[in-house]
Amino acid sequence: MLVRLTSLIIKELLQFFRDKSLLIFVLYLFTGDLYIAANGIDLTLKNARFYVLDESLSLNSKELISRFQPPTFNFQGYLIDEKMIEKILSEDKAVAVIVIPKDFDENLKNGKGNQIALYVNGSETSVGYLFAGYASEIVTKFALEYRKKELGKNLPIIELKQRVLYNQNTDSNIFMSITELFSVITLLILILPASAIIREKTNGNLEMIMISPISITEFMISKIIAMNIVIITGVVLSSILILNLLLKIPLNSNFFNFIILTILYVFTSSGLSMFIASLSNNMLQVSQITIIVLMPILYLSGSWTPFESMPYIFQKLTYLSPLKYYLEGSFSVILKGLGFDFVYKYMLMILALGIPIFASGAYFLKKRI
Amino acid sequence: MNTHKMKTIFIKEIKELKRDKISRIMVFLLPVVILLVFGYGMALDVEKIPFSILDEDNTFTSREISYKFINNYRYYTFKGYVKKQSEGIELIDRNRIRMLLVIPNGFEKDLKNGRGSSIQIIEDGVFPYRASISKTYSNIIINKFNIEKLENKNIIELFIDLRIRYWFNEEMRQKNVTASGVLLVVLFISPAIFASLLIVKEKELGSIYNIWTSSISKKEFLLAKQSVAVMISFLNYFILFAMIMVLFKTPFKGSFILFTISSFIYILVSTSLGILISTFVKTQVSAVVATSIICIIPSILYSGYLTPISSMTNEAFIVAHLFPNYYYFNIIKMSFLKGFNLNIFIKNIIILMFFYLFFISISIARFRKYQC
Repeated sequence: MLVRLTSLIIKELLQFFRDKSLLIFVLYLFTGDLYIAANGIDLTLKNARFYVLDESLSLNSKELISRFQPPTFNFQGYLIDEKMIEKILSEDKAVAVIVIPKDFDENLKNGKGNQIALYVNGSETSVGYLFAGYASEIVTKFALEYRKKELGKNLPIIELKQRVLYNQNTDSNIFMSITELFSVITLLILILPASAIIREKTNGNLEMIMISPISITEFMISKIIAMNIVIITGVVLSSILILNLLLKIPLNSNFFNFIILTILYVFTSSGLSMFIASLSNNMLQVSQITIIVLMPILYLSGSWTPFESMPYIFQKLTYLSPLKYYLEGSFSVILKGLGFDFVYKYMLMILALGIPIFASGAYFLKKRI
Repeated sequence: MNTHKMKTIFIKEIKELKRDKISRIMVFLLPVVILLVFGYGMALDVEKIPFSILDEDNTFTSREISYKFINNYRYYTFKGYVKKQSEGIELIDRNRIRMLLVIPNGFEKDLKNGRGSSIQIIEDGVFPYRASISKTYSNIIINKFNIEKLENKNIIELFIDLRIRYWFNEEMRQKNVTASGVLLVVLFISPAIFASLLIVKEKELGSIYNIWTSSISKKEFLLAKQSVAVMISFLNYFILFAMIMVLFKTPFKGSFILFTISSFIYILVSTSLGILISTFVKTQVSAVVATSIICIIPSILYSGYLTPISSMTNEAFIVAHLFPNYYYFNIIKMSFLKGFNLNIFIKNIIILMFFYLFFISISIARFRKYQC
């Protein structure tokens, strides 16, 4: 039996490696795609372009604008006409425009009220709100410091010191590339075993298997193991190339825990893949059902929407998502550097979900074949 | 071009789809599921951040500032006091809280003596976007507190007031953009996968030999297959549009007919891209994987959907202009948020048409009616 199983696994791997275009794309997913995610998406405020319409043209207004500094902000220049504001914002040339009134300097000196207008491009979802928040922080700080200088003594104010654990500069690239890696693993583990099984079905090879001494269980298990090998190799590859060499995450003993988490997660999700295979008759169906299963898993993992802001029912449903445990466990290992005593409970949770998912997936598939 | 031959292929595909019990539902269900998950799921609003307080000072002012955070139910959820900083950090490690507010010893004394005083927030940096939003919220709370105190003591009477106005999206409802932007993603990915499978399916099963030996020309064959994908996707467009308007209550400021025309052209672009991909791959699984990778990156990353095009670095800025998605997203933003502008509309439409002609002519050139 073991011999049969190994030769089936080898056959499956050979078949995978012969499909050149698939191989190229899977390799790309584990390397280039993660690289693009690391450098492409940054939801935090970086390099935000803005223009200023400065009617006062005073030293103080210049001083205020100079506080909007890179890398967070990117000052593009002064406007001379109010009509240009609309043109700039509607053509997405900038995230915001700041308008400083004519009497800014005098009002500031006389201690009168002062109004600065900030027009934010509301069609930029992620950064619009952050821009406004940062701007109000800068303006308040400017006003307090101006008053402090004028009075010549310290003001009884509270200063907020901030410390961000594990990621001092709130850089997105490590976070983005790891979440992208999770999406890639989930996509591949759902689609590869299912398509390997369906291919035999549509090509009519299933009848040959039936009359051969291979049992259905062996047939299924060999496909699952072969695809698990492919994916885990891919994860190791991307850990070395992208996480270690590019993002400079040390691969220490904790890293071994990440690989165990990955194996458990891949095992769990191959149960879902068998379930997809049991439902489908052709590849069109496999692709459609895969996307329908994939989307909720990604959503419920909490990598897009924070757990706390989800509707109540979804919050409860997240406990059923194996990706949630995998994601939290892996972040604890990779980003926080926590050891086995912190992550063992995530491993247990994945396993607790994995056994029933795998068993029922295998049951449904066996019934269908 | 022989329309009769094309019609035969078209009818054959429709019949096949009708017979396929699962797919005939799925082709319509799939875009709806993506819309629901993206529409509800891409909520970038960060709310109800769980946090704890370490109050070493334990005075009137320290409690006053604590309550400012505790009573901010919209943005913060209070999870209790901790006694030591290490205890709070362990709670962060166990994913129980995302922020720890530390009020140091002597906080009130420093403030009363007229010196400045400081408090600290410790954020969980695993989710960078959430951490920076949370920092912004804390800053706003503290700034407000400062200004109230100073005004009470008549140290500062009038202050600089920053009047913020969100253009095109007055209440800054992120759903207005995330929901309407789903059209950008869905109408790119699912038509492309569908179109590429229509052709690769024949290649993998070997029924493509029938086509090779028949008198139908390459152009007729590909355009007939494409028209099936376009028809299904165009029906999907109407379903999705209605759902976006009803479920997510987004405003619509453009002309429906012109927007429909632009969506039709966008579907032409995506289906022809699917056909182009099908000329490179031999198996259906590689067609699905390839098409989804090739489509997801430009439609989410380089379109301006999540990150502003204007904030991109130079290379990314140029790359964004090389994909069709950016131009369709301009039309979406214009129609849903910014208000209609005929000049910009025509400019974007012409570019999309160019993409279509480019993709389809390479596909026809690359498609072979013989074994390579």
